[in-house]
Amino acid sequence: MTFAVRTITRSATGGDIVHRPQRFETDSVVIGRGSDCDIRLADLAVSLRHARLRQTGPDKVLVEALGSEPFEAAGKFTTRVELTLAGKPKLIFGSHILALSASDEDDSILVDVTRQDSAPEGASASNEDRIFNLGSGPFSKRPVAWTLAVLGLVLCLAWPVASFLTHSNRTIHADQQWSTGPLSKSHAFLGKNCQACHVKAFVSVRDETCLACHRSTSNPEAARLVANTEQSWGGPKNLDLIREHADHDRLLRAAPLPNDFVGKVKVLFQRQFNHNSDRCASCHLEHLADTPAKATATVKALPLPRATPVLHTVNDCASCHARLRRSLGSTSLRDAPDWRHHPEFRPLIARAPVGLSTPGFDRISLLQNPVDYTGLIFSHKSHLSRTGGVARMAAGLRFAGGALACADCHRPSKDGKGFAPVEMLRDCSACHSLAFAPGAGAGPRVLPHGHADKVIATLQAFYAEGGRAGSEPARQPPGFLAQLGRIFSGPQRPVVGAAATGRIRALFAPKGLCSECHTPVAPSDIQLPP
Amino acid sequence: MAKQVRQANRSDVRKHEGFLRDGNFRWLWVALALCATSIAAYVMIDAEPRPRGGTMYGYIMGTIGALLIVWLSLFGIRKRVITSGVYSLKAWLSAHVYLGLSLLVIGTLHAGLHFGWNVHTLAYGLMVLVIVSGMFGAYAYAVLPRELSLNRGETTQRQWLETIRSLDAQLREAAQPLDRAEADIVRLSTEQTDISGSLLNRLTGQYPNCSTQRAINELARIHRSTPRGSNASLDQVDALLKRKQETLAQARRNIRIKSLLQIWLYIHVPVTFALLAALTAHIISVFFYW
Repeated sequence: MTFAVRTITRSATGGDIVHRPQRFETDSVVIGRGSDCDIRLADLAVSLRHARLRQTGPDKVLVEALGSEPFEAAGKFTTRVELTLAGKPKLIFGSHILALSASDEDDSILVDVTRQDSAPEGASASNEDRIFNLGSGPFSKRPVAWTLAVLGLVLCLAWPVASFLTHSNRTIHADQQWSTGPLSKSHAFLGKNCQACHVKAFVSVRDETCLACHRSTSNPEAARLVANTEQSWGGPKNLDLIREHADHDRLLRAAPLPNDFVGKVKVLFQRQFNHNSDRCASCHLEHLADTPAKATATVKALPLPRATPVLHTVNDCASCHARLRRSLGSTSLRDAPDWRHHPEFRPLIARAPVGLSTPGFDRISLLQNPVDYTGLIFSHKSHLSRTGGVARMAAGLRFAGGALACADCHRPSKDGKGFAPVEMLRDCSACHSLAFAPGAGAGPRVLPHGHADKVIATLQAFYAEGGRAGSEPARQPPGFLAQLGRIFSGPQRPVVGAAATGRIRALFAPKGLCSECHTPVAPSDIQLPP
Repeated sequence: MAKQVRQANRSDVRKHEGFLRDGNFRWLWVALALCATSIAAYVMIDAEPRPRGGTMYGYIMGTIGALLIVWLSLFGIRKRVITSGVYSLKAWLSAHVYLGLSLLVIGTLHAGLHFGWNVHTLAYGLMVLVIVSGMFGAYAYAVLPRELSLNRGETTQRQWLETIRSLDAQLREAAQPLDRAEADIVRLSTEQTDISGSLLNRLTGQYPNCSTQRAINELARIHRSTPRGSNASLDQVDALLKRKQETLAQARRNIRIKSLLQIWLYIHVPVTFALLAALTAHIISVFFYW
């Protein structure tokens, strides 16, 4: 029985070198690292006497470990295994492979010993760069740098811009990261709706945006739209309304350039970059809500325990009006350096018409004791007198105090900042009734006020119906209605033809019904019946 | 005409000055003047209602800061071309360091000391991170190269590796007569020693689980029960392991110093890219929502 052990090594060119076989004429050979072993494997992973290889049949061998250390056979670690040579089995000891086969030439058993290619040694020269330098790979500088740069551009720029263009920022708020600070308390409800104010990209906040909520208008429909716009965004119910007090270009010219050089350059830059200082947002700065207000002569700045929204006003009235005439030569306004030196108010005074000229208005200082030509017979003085006919009528109509007060005729406007225009029917008719005949229903028939042509048409229709004064009018203010009674209810027969025309003409005559309250003015623009 | 190659002589070595001292601290003085001017203007200008990026001063400081950041970032390209003279790479590096430091003042004053959770403060935070990592880098480059040179002596990295390979081969040879348990101790060193180790090992220079050290310790334990001299192979292995450990220690000191010289760039460079992205977003967003 013979074992032929062949050692196969790898040449420098990669080919195998099969060394002359070492033959053992014995029935078993010992495999191990020790010098006394038949098959010596110079491998520290192999025991000194690791295993014995013995032939047990014509085509069979038995491999037994000589100690407790296993070896690998057919992919499994074992200490004893019987193998068939026809299957050309392989045994692995450490890094060595022993391939067993039956020799074709004789009855010996061939054992080919090869050493496995192991990974490069840790200290190999090829590892020098990896060992002495921080490694490259997915976390090296360049890939991380580009990843961060792309992430930054996508998350901080592309995402908010895309949301802006698709108008989805109101829901996903991608542009919140651009906010430089919280909004003031009044505007806090817009905090997550940047596009409410920043309507166009690269265009500063325009006055139109502010006026969408703050526009003051006498048009009820426009006012309703403004209120709806503002409240649909969740804003407060009461807000300050703004009435622009000058044209845009005049405001721009009136706003003075700062005296200092730096300030001038600043404003010129603002104008150059379409960031003018005449906008609402130029003075009413936002996103500064966590800035404590500065102390002034009258207001002492308090230390704020936490960020408190504050609306900052940089320019006040005096900023422009202190030297308005210098910056805006065409203005008729006088300079107002401050409230203490504010020029006397010059209300708009109606001047008396000359001949048939239409009424005109002048601004006259109160120091000149101007007299307003209103065209009315009863002055404020007579209305407010606590004696006389007006007071008697007021007492008769049970006005509080027995005389008229301002609030009996003048009603505050809806915004609470002024007074609504006087309306004859609402504010005057309690005393100056225009009822002239009983009506079809509960109320009397009333002459329209302010429209001579309508008065004529109303009376013509009344007389055409066979008009006559019927039963008592529903209301009878003293004095005035008595005159109406004389006109319309004296004769208890129909008034027709020339008589009716005469009565209508008499209404507008110098001593007619209209002249009871109004200074007689020839109605040049109406067609009285012939 | 043959191109003359200027060689360094002894006088050049004596005159050598580091990048921090370049041009008699020229760029330090420029940076200080820039900072002093910026601070003086910040104090003197009464920005209403408060100093911030949206004032004229803020825009000027922001423009200077943004241009500086871009210029400082270009050093990554500039450093690949080594030139001499007033605009030498060393002068650029000196300006890079000092103007980079001044950016801390300029950026802070541009923001008006006002910060929040937004892209603007993100850009500021990244800028600070880049500057702080750069400060560490400047310190490392000013101090560590001398330490590196002292450790290396007359040897090279490759020589250390060759020494370790040679010692491993000798260990394997010397351990052949040893029994399996003793051979496994040697295998600990030859097969499982990781010269560089983890990032923490590299930066601290501490290798508490070094396999070679463990092998030395194991052999010492065996030696306590077996008198020295009774097993010549074991004594030889012990001596070889200790020589290997000395070589490893020297190589690892080198690794620690080089890691410290390199690690800050792993923050400095990627965060600079992130800063450029955040800066772009910062500038565009300001004018987008003007």
